[in-house]
Amino acid sequence: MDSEDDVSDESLGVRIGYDDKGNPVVTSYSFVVDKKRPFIFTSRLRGADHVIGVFHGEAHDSGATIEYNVLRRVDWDELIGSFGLSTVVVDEYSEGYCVLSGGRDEELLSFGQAVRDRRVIEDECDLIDGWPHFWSLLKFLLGSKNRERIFIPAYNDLLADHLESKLPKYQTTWARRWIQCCFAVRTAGLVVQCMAVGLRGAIGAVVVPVALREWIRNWWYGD
Amino acid sequence: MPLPSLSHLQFQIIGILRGGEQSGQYVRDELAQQGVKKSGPGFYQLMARLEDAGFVKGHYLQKVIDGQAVKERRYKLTASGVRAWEATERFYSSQIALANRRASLG
Repeated sequence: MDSEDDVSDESLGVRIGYDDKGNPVVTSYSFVVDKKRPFIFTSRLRGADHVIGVFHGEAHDSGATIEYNVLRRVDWDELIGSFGLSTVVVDEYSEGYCVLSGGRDEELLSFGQAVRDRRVIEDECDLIDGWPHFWSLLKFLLGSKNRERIFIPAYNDLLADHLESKLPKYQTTWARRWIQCCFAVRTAGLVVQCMAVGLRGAIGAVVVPVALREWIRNWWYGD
Repeated sequence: MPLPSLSHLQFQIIGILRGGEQSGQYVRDELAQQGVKKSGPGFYQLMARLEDAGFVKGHYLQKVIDGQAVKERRYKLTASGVRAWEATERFYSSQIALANRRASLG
């Protein structure tokens, strides 16, 4: 079975089986997606997390199966990971998690839901899930080449730094809002830097004479 | 001896990657420690050019931090990158030897 082909299937669900050698493979898809709550669909292999897809949706427990209805997908194509899975976890982000399969069992293993204050969840979803996604949309100001080569890796470094900064401390609402503001400013700055780098590459190579280019470069970097 | 195919910055970066596969952030931090400060986009443009030249190979490693997906760009050296770095090292070594010889004569 060619698991990667199956992963790119639009049906967006997954169930794990095993091949002749006992390696875990995807055998079928079993959920559809909808609604507002974001969750992350990850695979875990040898202790490392590989993200397969990020969705905005909400879980519905309907007896033996759990259905996910999704309004939209986020960066599905960019996030398809390796599919030698031992466990598949559907993580509902703020609210809970659902383990579809683990070990050698193809059946649904468990569904867990953390009960939290709705106001806090909504607040977090607006501020934390919404903002990074919103600011990542700024990348479309750039051409596809610059976006892929320059913006995306730099943005992900920024995002990792941002997410790590709010992990252990700074749990108050205003502290987290301030961190979001900083992230927004830095992302906007990153887009401007990408434009400058792209422009410098394009104009500098063709139009600007070498001496002037050097002067601009020195001015830009403050050398 | 022909001029090296690597710029001084590329030489530094490949030197860092000789230790094994590293994340872009790590390479950037190492460069900063060596006094080369590049903005994120500037750095990744440099890395993209190294990839275009076939000296390094990049891929994304997907991580989850605080429930959110993040892709980390990682780089590893190719065989031609190693060859280019060694050729550049030989060039600089020969130039240093030449300069030292001239200095001792003069």
